[in-house]
Amino acid sequence: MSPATEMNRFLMDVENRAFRMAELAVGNRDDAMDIVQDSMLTLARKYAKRPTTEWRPLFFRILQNRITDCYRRRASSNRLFSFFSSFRNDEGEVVDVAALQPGPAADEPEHRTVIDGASDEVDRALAELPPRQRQAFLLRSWEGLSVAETAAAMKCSEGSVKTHYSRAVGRLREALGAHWP
Amino acid sequence: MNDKTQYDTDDALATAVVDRLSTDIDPEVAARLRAARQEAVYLVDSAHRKRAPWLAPAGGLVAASVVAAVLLREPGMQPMPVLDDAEMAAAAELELLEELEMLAWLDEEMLDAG
Repeated sequence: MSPATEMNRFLMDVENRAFRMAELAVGNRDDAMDIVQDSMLTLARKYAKRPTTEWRPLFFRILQNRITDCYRRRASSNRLFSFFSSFRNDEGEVVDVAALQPGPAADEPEHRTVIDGASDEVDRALAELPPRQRQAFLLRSWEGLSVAETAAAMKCSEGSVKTHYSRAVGRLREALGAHWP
Repeated sequence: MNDKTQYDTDDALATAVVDRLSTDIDPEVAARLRAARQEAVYLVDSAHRKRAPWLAPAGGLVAASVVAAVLLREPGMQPMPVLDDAEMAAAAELELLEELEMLAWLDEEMLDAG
């Protein structure tokens, strides 16, 4: 099988899940699309020569890096927006316009956009997880990566993967209820 | 299964969660993902052809083979010298194959004139 055919088969297998992971993480379809597209091109450009068995953790590492980049860009643009857009309301109080902007901040789940409204409790519970916990949970449970592969994708130790995963499940249990659904 | 124990283990809860995660995406996103994938695959294909230059002149090779086959089948015509495998491999450059085509054409012209 040619490398191009192998790459096509691999990307076909992961593209929908990758898109949903990115969408859950950034809460925005267009940003998620850009993240997945960029991840595909980066894998093809830089890592196509690597053994195909390495593609999955490499691809998800790239995906997670792009998600993190997206958080950083938003945080940066929010700071800029805040600097230029602070204004006083009718009572003369200074209002931080950036705080009114939608979009997630990595460590502020309360600011994270909920996907597709409040009706989808699974999406909501996942979107509200801290980013590293969500990554560990989705890569292990949904993508089926081993602990070692997840650690490679997340650039952390296997012990950290286990901790993030365990905490993610604990939070999901809290959010969804012990006897959910 | 008893509801009170259904999600007692982490694995059971994780399975229940991912079972409810949808991979359904709307047609517009699916089309954009397909386009992105094709772009990525094209990159891999281009890089592979650069690393394997003998794939690039495949068209020229086919054309040369066709010309040689036609000439060999002409009745009363002197057969063209057939290249062996080693010579064909050495003639992987497109320019060289084009020269062979030109020589074959010249040869044909000379035979017609004679």
